[in-house]
Amino acid sequence: MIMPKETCVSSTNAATIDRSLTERYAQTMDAAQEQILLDRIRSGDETGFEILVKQHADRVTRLAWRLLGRRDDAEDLAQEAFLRLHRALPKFRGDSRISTWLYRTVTRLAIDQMRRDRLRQRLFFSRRHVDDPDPVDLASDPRANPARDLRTREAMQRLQSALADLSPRQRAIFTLRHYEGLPLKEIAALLDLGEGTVKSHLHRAVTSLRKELADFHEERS
Amino acid sequence: MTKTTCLNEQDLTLLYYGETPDSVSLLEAHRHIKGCPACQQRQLQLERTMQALPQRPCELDPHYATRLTARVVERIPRRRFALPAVAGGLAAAVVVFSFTFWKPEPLLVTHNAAVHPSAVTENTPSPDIDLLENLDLLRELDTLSELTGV
Repeated sequence: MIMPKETCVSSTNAATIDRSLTERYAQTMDAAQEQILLDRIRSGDETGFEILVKQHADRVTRLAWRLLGRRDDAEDLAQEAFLRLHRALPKFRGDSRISTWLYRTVTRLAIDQMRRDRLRQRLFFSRRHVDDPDPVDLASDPRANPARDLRTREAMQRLQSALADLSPRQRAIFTLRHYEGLPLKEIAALLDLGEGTVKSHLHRAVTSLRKELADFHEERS
Repeated sequence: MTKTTCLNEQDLTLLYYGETPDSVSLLEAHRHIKGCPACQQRQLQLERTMQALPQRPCELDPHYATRLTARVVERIPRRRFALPAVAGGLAAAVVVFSFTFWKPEPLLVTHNAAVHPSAVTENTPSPDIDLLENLDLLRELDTLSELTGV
């Protein structure tokens, strides 16, 4: 398992990511407030940690959800990330922001989990999409436009299926770029990869998704 | 200088995401696309496909953060200093308990028995003493009755 390390990103990279993440998500807590909170936690004030978790819970879970595609797994992963943060706080030097640390940890944990899932699928020939809804349930959906919802859900399933065919790293890079809007430079820094490698992974992911979804649109039409 | 050869797929993908292509500068790439209908067409197709990707709504209810926080706090291991504190408390409880329910042995008897074995017979209350005292009383009663002639 890849252990998230706070020190694995250079200060320059960390600063770049921090600035970008802060701007993108308009964090309510600035660096000074975060430092005060960290000092409180280090002095044994557990309520400080609770504030920290509450502050980041939604964003961390959404990221995990987008990476893994399943809410239950995302919640478990978010919990694990916060527990690791709690363990890491005494040694946390403050070179990077907490949000950056959490982003990196969640992404790496998600990649690990995706790898384990793929291995499990190969070993046990398990169904790929256990969470797929029952078509009968979909058809009996009482909402106003079940036909449109059905199409949307089918498209979502197809996307999930196409994403599942990507390698864990490609999937993570695509999700971080396409859905989270992180620049490739930041993704490279988060994952400790070269920018060229990230570009290459993104291209392969996009090519694969385009092919899968083009087939789907042809089937639909 | 304007690049005359068409852009490859990776460069088009990078351009779609606003990133700099590998093989050509951003400015050159845009200039080329402007003058190349084939690349314009490919770029348009890419944009259509990517924009058709469904959004993945990850809706969380307003109380989710509170619930997750509670679960995380529940799973945080107790602090290490708790163990010595609990151990100390237990030791204190044992001491108090011992003093409360401790009944000392009759020290005098034990001590004498240890030092002067003969003292045991002298100081140990004998069950016959009461009987002997009663007999004395009876004798005295007999003597009194003889004297009074009753």
